[in-house]
Amino acid sequence: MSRFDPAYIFPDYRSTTLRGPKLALVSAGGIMAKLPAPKFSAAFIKDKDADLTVHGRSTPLGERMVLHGRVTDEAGQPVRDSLIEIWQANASGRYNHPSDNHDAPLDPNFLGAGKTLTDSDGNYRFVTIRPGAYPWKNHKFAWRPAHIHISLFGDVYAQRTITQMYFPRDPMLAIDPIFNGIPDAGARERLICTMDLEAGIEEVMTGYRFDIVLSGAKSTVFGL
Amino acid sequence: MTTYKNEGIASQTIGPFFHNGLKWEQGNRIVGDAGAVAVTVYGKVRDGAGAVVTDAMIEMWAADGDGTFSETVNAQQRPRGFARIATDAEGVYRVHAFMPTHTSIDGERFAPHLNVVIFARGLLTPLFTRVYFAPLVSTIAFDPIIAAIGDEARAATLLAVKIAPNAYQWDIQLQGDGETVFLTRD
Repeated sequence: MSRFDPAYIFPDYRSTTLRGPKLALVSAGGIMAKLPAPKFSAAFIKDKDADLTVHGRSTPLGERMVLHGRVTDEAGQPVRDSLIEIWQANASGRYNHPSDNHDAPLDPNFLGAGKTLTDSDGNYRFVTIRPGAYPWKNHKFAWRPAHIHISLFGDVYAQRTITQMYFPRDPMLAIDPIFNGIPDAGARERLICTMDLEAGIEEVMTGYRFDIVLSGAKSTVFGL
Repeated sequence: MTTYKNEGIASQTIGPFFHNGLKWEQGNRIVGDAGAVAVTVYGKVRDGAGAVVTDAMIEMWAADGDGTFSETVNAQQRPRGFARIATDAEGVYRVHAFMPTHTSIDGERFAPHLNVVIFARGLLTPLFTRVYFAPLVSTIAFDPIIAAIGDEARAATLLAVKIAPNAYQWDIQLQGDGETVFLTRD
């Protein structure tokens, strides 16, 4: 795993205790960085896939926001034409998912899933709403801080990543074992977006920036 | 010492609610070359207590018959060698693929396999592994990954078991007795 990834077993997050492997990983010997990542055709993305607010009869409830950023590798090179998928709860903290039984309203105008490709300079842009926090059963008074799930493929197979993006100064971050499963404080900080109102639309929606660095592309590491 | 211009992003769990966001129509279908032998790979995912894992997502990435990864897309405009499937209420996944061939990468020769990544609630970091289509570990002892495992019983956790002429079973044990071999992401 990459040097910033959480350990497989992190008891504060209860589900890890029976699902994380206990034996040491076997070295793949560098092969993962030599395999290309799956590449998706531009035709895979449909018209409204990057706008999560236009799939109902009217606008979803909540703070409409632009989420944008740039995907690069560790050498700062853009990750181009690469698939990014996002999914999230609605403004009330409820997923459009049959297993989510949190007693908060569904929003018929918000399905909570989007996808896009990065452009030729690694940039991406979604329009969505700011998700709400929601309770879970990990421990007493456990609440997940508001977050957007993000899935990325990168250029090589070793870069395949699923993560979560959080919002600035959220007091729930301190009590969240998923976020705090990341041992390095700097790596935790890098999962928090920054407010970027000028990327939004004046008088319509806010803006947030979230840049993403994918590790794992060996050839781009300095000093090798 | 290795230095980086930029520091990488950390992994977080996929959580239990990924299905609507990541579901693909016919996501469990890998398209092969004309003449490739179709095989079904299926199995059950279990945790360290033996309970089935009903909310895992498995991705498989297959090289073409010539051993390279094709950029050709399938009817859904996705890479045709790539599959994504969620486990069902019994913890079972099922992928319609084709029999892989030997691959050669930078002079290293690998036995026929599919690359696998597993995501699930409770996995803060995904699990990388492979499934091989050899009857015995000894027949693929030359494979660098099999060789690196260095233990026949453990290596056997990466072998799909032939159930019928075109059907292979490969169970995934996340933890405990018979724990599947998982690989570093390098």
